[in-house]
Amino acid sequence: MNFSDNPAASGSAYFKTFKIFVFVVGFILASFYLLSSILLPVIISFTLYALIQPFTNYLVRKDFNHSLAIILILILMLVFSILAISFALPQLLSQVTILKSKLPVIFNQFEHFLTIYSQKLGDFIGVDFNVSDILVSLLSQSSSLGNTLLVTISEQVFAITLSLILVPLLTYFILKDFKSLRNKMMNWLPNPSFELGWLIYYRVTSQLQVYIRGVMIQSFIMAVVASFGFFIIGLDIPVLIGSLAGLLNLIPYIGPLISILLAVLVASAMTPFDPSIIYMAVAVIIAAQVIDNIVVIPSVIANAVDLHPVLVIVGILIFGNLFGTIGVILAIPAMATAKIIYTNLYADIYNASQNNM
Amino acid sequence: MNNFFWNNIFKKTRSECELITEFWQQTPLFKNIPSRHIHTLSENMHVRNFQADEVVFRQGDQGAGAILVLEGQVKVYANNTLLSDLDKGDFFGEITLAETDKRTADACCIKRVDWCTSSNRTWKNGLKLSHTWALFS
Repeated sequence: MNFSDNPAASGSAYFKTFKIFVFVVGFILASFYLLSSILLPVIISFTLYALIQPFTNYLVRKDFNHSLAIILILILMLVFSILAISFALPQLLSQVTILKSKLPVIFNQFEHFLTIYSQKLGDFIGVDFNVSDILVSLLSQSSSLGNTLLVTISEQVFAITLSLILVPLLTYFILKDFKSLRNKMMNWLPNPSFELGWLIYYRVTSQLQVYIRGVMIQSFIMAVVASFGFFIIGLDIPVLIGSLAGLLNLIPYIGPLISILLAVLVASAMTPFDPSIIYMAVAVIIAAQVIDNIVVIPSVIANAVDLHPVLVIVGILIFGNLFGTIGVILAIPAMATAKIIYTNLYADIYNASQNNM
Repeated sequence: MNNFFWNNIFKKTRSECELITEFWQQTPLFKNIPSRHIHTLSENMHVRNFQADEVVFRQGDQGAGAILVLEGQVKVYANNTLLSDLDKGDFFGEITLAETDKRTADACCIKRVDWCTSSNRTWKNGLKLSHTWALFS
């Protein structure tokens, strides 16, 4: 789109677009705020809707009753989830137990590393670091953080139980009635904005669907590749660390760095201590990232979001600050949605201003 | 799952859907297409009311779908030249279903108009309903 041919029109269009954009984004954020107590189940249900809808559509095309198709798919998903959990949960729990028993060793090893490298750094720049003091302060902070986390988790038990009940119910009703409800709501739009509203809706939902499906597949592939790599190099608890690497991949740029840190910590706690396994663990994460960037992203999430890397990092930090962990995961789709809304509003307002001249 | 409450809140009235189905069935686009498929498509179409002299769309606007005139009269212009004079049962704006999302002409209501619009995604989903629809894909 080239809007540079008429600066006056584009300036006025920018201003009008900005006003409407602020109103729309404000409305969305206010809805998020109102829904904040049930935000997690709502997001999970809509994610499931995006994943399940193609299958229900397929069954409806094969002349299945709509409600029956939804129930059938939900039952299949439930059975599959129970099978997957019953297979994976014991493995993961045993690995969590191993990790728990190794935590003191990991911290000691971490302190050992820090002491050696801080001494080297201190000698190099001529400053004396007192690492043990820093560590004691850090560890006391982390233990109080741990206690706070435990209290928060116990407080969240009600919310988690509510989510477990709400998610299947919400998913069923979203699959069944969301389109009708959406049509009713879109009919509230005034005539001049009606088609634009639909256009923006279609573009946003298409991009979100591609993004959600892509990210799910990407995380799964990352988890499999990293687990397999860790298993090959002989790292302790490979499935747990690999699965965490897959999950952390949901957070762009920052997630892989945390994965590397985790793998290094686990590798450094292994007995007998072998430095080569640390390098190999880092190499596994880097190799998984290379596969992700060369194979998975171009084929699975190509063009799902087109945002500048700096914007992504700043957005993640701001959303993380505003909405916590959910905010970190929601940052990219939210920014991609805002971008589509803005560019489409601007294109429409600019065209209208050109027509009126 | 026939529930009075949900049916009344979320469903179109049967007569409205049937009317839209009937109109589309008479257009060349839907010739030989089973009416149950057109009915499924009609359930996702939207009825709008326009006043006389109201602009439906302008050339260059972003368009989301085709429009069927249920009542009234619409004139379609391109560069101030009258392209067509549309009446009850006629449809227009179908170019956005296939080629571009930009409107290629101006459309203005002459009399008060009720029309129903069908988005390109509704059509694309509809095309998958039956193999006979492959003609349009």
